[in-house]
Amino acid sequence: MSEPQSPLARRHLLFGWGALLVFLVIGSVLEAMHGFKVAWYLDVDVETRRLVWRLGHAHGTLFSIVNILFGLTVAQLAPAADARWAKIASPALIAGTLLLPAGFFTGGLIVYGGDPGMGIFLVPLGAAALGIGVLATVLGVSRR
Amino acid sequence: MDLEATLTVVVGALALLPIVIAVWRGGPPTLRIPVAALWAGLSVVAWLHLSWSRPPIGEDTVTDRPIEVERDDYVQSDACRACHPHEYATWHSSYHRSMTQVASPTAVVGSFDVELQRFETRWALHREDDTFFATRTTTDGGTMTRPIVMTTGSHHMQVYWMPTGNDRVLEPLPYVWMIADQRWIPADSSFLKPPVDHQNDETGRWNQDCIRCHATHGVPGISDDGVDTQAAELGISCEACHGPGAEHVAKYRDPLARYAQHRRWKKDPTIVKPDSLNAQLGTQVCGNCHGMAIFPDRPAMERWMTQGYQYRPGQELEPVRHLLRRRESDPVVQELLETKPYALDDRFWPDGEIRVSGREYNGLIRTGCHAEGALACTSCHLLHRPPDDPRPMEEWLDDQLKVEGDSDASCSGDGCHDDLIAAGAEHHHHQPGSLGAQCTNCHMPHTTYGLLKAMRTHEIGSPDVATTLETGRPNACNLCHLDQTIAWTAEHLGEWTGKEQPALSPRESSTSAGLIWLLEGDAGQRALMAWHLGWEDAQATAGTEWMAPYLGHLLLDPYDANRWIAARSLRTLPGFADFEYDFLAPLPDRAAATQAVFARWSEQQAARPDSERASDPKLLLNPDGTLRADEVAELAALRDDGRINLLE
Repeated sequence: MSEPQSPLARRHLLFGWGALLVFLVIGSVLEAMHGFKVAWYLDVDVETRRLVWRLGHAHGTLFSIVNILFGLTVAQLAPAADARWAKIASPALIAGTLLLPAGFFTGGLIVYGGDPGMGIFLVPLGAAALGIGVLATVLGVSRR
Repeated sequence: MDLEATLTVVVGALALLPIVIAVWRGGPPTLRIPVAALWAGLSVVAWLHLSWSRPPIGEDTVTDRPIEVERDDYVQSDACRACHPHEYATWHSSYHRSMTQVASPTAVVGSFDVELQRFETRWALHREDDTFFATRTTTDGGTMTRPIVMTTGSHHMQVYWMPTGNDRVLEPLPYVWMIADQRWIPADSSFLKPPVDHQNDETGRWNQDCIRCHATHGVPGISDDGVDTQAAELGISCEACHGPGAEHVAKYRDPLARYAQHRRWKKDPTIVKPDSLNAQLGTQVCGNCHGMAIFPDRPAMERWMTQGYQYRPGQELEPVRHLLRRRESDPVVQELLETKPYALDDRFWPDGEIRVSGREYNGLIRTGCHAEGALACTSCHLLHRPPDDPRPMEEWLDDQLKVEGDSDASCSGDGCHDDLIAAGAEHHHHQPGSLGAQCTNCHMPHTTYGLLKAMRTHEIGSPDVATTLETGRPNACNLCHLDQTIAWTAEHLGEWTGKEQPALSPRESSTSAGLIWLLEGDAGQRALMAWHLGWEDAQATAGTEWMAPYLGHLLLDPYDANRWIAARSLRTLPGFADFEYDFLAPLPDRAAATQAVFARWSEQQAARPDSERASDPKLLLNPDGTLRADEVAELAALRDDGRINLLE
């Protein structure tokens, strides 16, 4: 495939692959905590932390790939630089990819029994941003 | 039609339909009919299989045993799990949770491949798949097979319950499974009660008695219409201590309400935290079950029959439940004694101290540390094991104590007895760090009885010879210094406290107090002594060289429980770990076992001619190490054979 002409596509490819690298490192850290049996992560009473960090890692990885796919989509469809749907979808997808895992990870720093910390409130914000981004993309692609 | 099975098959069939269509449209014509037929056939077979599979039995379909029903704002422990996973997990591992369980392969710990004979009845136990059965055969050849539907206990012993066919009324299997010993013993033998020659009818025992504390918010449901026994939860669950949780659960389904509470750190009025209550109210939460209480009047009892206890954690206990005390002047007690003349003797020492286990609240409320201070159950006990608890789970589970909850640290809490602890040997008169220097060994001796062992009294006091003589309750000094006389104790206590000591008989000055209780005492005193001769702290203090013949003597005790305890203690002695003895064997066999103990001990004595304790006259031993058999027989002839029936 030739180099994408669209700066937007390039931005998302860079962001997506970069984020994937970050979540690969985070995944390795989580694996290491399993390997070294880190009580702060594995004890029975921190099940909530383990759950939300796993969720943070899984969602971060998944949405990194979504950003790559978005970049490829933009490149494939070669939208005009000022395509409205792409201008809406791009920041929404980036915000969501940052907010949602960040919510899970900060929510796991302090846990209240079965409830994660206050950071978890970032998760619905991130989910809403991702929803907007995906919806805008669906609409944009369907109008081509 | 089974809606769930139908829905599952329809969704599955629709998901596979595109493959069938693709084959039909673009595949080889020869495959069209087979693929379509396979699709249709699989769908039908799946539907038939799922429809005919036996759905799990719900509590609402059970008719032959007590059932769990969410009622009166009790919502069951599952509702607590999502928000309180650690607390749920520690409770779930506790013996409180498994106190009563529906019989299942995970709940049943006894061996169900055995035949047992009790009086005129033979019991054959067996298992079929996940169900356990007991077949009763009587001498006339009649047999009846019934399933085991419920269990009680999971720590020391387990009791099994069978349906009677009369509504939800249960009858126990007349045998209990001893978990540590891995053997069945007759249920009667597991209590300290006079020997029986027939099987007592215990039908309905769970529905009327066990339900009071072995389930959460139990309701006997006994009325003219029948017996509809229910409990909010079988076993002792979250709401037994925290109160009904419906309001709490409803409020905190709202995440905003939860986070507001997380950040506020204020007391939550929708649920009770016993350790946040004052010492009195918090202890009453435990006292509801760990106290001996009776109904204040007949209407209260009738209300309990149909609605369960009205007491809720956080409330004052006494207006709802009348705590049983040794107060003959109490009209409620008077009424009880009219129908049950032994009601007090079966539970209390003569001075009113509780002598049966599981009723620690009765002891605690007579203790100044609680009545006038801040001592509560949670001062020493911890119902949820902390994540950083360094002890093995089993150690915490045993008594659910805090880390070092049985150490002096519990007495110095809030600075209560720092001065006494700092005084050290001036206060306890023992070597610092020794067994005698521990607060509990002097102030909480093992003078209550239950579950075939002695347990620490929770009426915290100080050893006193006069009290021992008046009540017959062994004092802490002689329970550890088993080889010493009560005169020896009186002399030391008089010297330390300055209190005038009572006059003593020549026997009390010449013979070990422990031996007097063991040989001459009533069945309750003999049980305590049988246990103490196996207590490692007492063995370390008083030595073990002299114990075997006396435990051998107890192998012939008329009370089953005493023989059981004595045999267990005997096996802790050097050279007796492998000693074979069946406490239920016929008398000649038991007599032979006693002789075998004497013989083995005599051999041991011959090998230790220089041991002072092995020839101690206080222990009725001659200088050559032989037993003063005449004196032993003389004391044994004075044995108190009065009725003892300790109602745990």
